[in-house]
Amino acid sequence: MTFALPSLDWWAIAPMLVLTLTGCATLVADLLRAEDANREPLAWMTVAGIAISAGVAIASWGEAPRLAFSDMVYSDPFTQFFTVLFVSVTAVTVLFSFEQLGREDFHPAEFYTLIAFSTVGMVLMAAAADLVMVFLGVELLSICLYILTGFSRRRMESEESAIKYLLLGAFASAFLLYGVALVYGSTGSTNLSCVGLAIGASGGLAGACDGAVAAGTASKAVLLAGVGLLIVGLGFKAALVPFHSWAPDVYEGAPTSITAYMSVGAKAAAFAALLRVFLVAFPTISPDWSVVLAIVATLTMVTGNAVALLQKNIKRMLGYSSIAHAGYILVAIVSASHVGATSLLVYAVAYAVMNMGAFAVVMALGQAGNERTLITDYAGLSRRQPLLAALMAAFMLSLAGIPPTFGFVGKFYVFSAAVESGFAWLALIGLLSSVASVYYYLRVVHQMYMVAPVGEAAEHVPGRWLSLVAVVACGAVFLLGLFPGGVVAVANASTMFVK
Amino acid sequence: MNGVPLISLMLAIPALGVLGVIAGAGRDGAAARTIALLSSAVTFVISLLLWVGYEPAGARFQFEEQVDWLPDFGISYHVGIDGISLLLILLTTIFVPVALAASGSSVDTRLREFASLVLVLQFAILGALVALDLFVFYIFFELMLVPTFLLVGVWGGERRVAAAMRFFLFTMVGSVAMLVGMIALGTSKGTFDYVGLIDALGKPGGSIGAATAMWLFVAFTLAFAIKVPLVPLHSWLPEAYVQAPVSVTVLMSSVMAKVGTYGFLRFSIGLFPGAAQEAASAVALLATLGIVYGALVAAKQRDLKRLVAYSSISHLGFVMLGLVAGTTEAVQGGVIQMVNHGVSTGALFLMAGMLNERARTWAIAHFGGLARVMPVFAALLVLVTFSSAGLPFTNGFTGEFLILTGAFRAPATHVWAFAVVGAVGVILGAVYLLRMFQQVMQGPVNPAFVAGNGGANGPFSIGDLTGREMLILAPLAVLIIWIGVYPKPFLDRSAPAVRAVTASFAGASR
Repeated sequence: MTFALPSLDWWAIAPMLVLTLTGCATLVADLLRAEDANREPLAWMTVAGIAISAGVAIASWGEAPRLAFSDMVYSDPFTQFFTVLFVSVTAVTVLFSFEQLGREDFHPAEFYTLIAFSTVGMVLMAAAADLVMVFLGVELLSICLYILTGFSRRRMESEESAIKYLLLGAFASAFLLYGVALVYGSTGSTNLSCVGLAIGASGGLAGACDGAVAAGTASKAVLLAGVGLLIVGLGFKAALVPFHSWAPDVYEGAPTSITAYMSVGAKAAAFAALLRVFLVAFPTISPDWSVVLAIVATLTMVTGNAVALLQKNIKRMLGYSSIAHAGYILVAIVSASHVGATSLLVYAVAYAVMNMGAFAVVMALGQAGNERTLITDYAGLSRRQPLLAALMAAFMLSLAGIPPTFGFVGKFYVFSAAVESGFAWLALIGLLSSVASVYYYLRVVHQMYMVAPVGEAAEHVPGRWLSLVAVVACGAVFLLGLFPGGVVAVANASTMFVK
Repeated sequence: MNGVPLISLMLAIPALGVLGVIAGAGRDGAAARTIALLSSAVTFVISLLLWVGYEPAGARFQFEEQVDWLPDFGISYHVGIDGISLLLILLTTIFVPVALAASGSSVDTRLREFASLVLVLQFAILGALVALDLFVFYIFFELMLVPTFLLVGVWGGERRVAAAMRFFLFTMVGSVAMLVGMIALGTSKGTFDYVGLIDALGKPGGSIGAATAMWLFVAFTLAFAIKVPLVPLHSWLPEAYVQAPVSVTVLMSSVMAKVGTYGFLRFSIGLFPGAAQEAASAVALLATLGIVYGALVAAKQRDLKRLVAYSSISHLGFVMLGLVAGTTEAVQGGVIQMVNHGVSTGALFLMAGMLNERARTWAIAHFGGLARVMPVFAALLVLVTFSSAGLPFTNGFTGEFLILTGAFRAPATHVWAFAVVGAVGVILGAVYLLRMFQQVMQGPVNPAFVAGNGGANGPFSIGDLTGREMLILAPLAVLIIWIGVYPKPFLDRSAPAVRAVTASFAGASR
């Protein structure tokens, strides 16, 4: 018996490998450094790892799409697109951490290691070619996030939110896993493309589908039950209503840098996985699930925007608003088309830019011992910190989808795709619910520009990295709002696998 | 002139002006107003070049520029003007410097922000007026909201925040309805270009069906009807106009409301003439309702600014009635009346503001006998009141006459009946306007205005118009008489564009 050594396509997973090694390296480096040494080198190590990882992903852009590691992961433009998005979000989070680590007495090494590992989880979710890989990615991301959520050890809410997240997250994982099992039971495979072939999809990259049932013989009832459970599991990660109840508490309790990271990165990862799973494995039964997802999207948009109206804490407000934005993004999947997939990628970038920017301002206003996250803390900001106020106003307008911002372009693309796929009613509901969102975003503008400052808030200079992130994000919000062509072209090329 | 992108230049000036204000004015903003005035003067000069260069007999759209923007969707930066947008552009470029100059004492804080926001508003309004691509139009249309929200919310009166918020949310609801309609239309035809869409819809087999067209017409019209506003969608208006500082009220009523009527004519009627024909009676009903309701409520007001605000609703009803009646005279009258409304209502708001600066009150009962105190002001107010009431030899007469005669001959059923009611509205308008004039200007002088023993300022404690104020009102007075006596240059320029609209309207009725 001869035993052929499989030829391993290391390059296909190189971005993840680099990030994993970076995470390990920060741990080791922490052991070697003196107790009270400067923590900045660790952060820069992480940033360097991220840069290499992004570089690798960009370098592989344009390679032919392929499956690697026994058909377990894709190396295709979609993976590379999300890799770059995720590591950029991570890099910004690391920059945020300069402020937060000093303020909240964090253990830097663990922080950076967990951030690196959780990013690997995100990339894995986008790259997964197999339901088992999706699950692995989700777990890797989630477990790191459970810990990061509770990282502000001194703050009770942080601990509380971590426990909540862990308990509910464990449930969601079980749903996800059971969904995978049912899909396997019905189709005889966990490989996305093989599942797709078994239920009549054609074309695209496919591996060897040895165990899969012949096309047309899958049990539809079991399959649909599995699909439903997958929606629950991934919907929890993306904080879709009615699986969202953890999100506001966790977003409020977690350290602000982690809130930003979760609300953008983890959410985008969940949507990358949803898109890949539903449009590679289940395109042929899209009439069955698109209605369900359309209802979930409606609930998510309406609930997120309605409840955000009532919030007094800006982190919580952004938490609920991020639920509403998840609803908008879900509309892109409901469209179940190439245009829809492209619009999802565009919206993900838009959302990342404007939300990270908004969180940068929120962090810039925080001070040691007082995060200053009440919306009324923003009173009169335009007089105390005109630049920060103007930046925040820009992010609020972009989140509200007012042209000429990138947020508007994102909404335009998402809802255009929905209208094209015959979901004009969903677009109308989405846009009307976004009118409600205008109110709570403008309330922040109102506080900053139309209310006199309360007390004598000490002049406090925001960290330079926070300012840098906010200024760059603001530039991107307007520049990409006016010239979205480049992002759209890249997103378009990244979703060629969707017909 | 060929080769110079005049329209883009005209848009670039206010944008550069914003940068100039931010960079050039110190933190106290001393120079802000001057820089903004300078910028708006340059914009005005460019708009004059458009006026001079526009050929009434030439192409439908002139000074066109087109650059691909989002080719996937068939979206391009496509701008150009016809006679209708030309008139409104001039109205805008005249009123922005007027409003800036008139902001003198009502706005005295954060001048740098104020001046830059006014310029942003000008940029947005001009952009909306020249856009020949639905997407581009929408962007400018929405962009108007943000500076207006801030201008009302920061510099307004006591209840300014609620007023600003209400304004924003109301108009936003209409805008998203239009956005959905726009996306549905644009994606089904593969282009968002106005000219391209008209071609696509007019082609044999290019029709979208009467029911779809009606839905789209309603979606577009909702946005514009809120912006105008058409009764019963007007409830944001009184608070917003009253709370805003006078100069901002002038911009909102004289210029911004016109983007609503303009959009209705250009897009609702222009793209869906068949549906517009079918809905003509309904829109005419609402317009007439607005004429009468606005006039009746205005007659009841004791607050000068509120009175003008309601009169504005009434007058815009005439504009909408003219546009929807669909005959050449009526639409022509509607277009001229857009300009007239801008001039007369703007002048009324400005003059009310001048009284307020002197007396620190809006209460009509507080005034009286001012004709003796301020003779020049009184003379001008006579002119403006006559113009607003539509008396002959003023611009208001030209517009209302054309609208009413045109509406009598409207092809759509029952529109003539609304014209009859509208004519009653003219009388009502005369009643409340002349009564206002009488209460403010005639009768005994309020003792509060009589200075003790003839002090240094003469016998009265308040003075007549200052030189600056006369300078502000002079161009408006000239326009009132010019359009009233010799409207030909205005009618000539807008006529071809109006005929293009009415031709499609008449074609749809067959």
